[in-house]
Amino acid sequence: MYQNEYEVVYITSAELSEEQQKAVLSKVTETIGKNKGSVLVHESWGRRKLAYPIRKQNYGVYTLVDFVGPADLPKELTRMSRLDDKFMRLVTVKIDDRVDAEIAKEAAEKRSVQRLERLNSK
Amino acid sequence: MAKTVRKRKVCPYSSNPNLVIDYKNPKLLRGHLTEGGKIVPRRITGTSAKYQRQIAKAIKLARQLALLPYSARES
Repeated sequence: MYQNEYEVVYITSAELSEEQQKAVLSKVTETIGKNKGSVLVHESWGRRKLAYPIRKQNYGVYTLVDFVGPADLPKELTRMSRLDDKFMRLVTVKIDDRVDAEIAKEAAEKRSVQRLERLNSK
Repeated sequence: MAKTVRKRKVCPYSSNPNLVIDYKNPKLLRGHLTEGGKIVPRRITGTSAKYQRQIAKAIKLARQLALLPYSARES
């Protein structure tokens, strides 16, 4: 079975405590692991103002997780996020087809570093 | 009769490979939205068709993630 590379970005309420945020991340990681995927990198964008209110909240905490996994994994993630009301939004995007996990991991790490630099320079 | 001379618009993405269109970069995409939040047509921005398609996709994704507005009411 070949694997694809995906990245998932999700928003959680800014009202959750740090432990709760961590629990949400481990839930995402677990779901990926259970479905024969593996996480390459994850990064937190922190608390950001939303372009429009979601559930009457103006702020959200953004997290990005880059992973490889089989093609049915994104669907499973979406399902999981709908069942758990800690997720305000969750979007999965395919990065690449048929990747090798180790090569992809290196590239993903590089991208993440650049992204965080840009984010912090704002 | 005065002839209007219009400067030819150049696609900013074709000429600059460092500009990567990404839904995670709302700062860049903002330039392609009107104040009301609509996508600016390429006849205004000069973007080539190839990159306009990518931009439209990226904007729509960014909207799902509340990085960009669907509509912005002026207050």
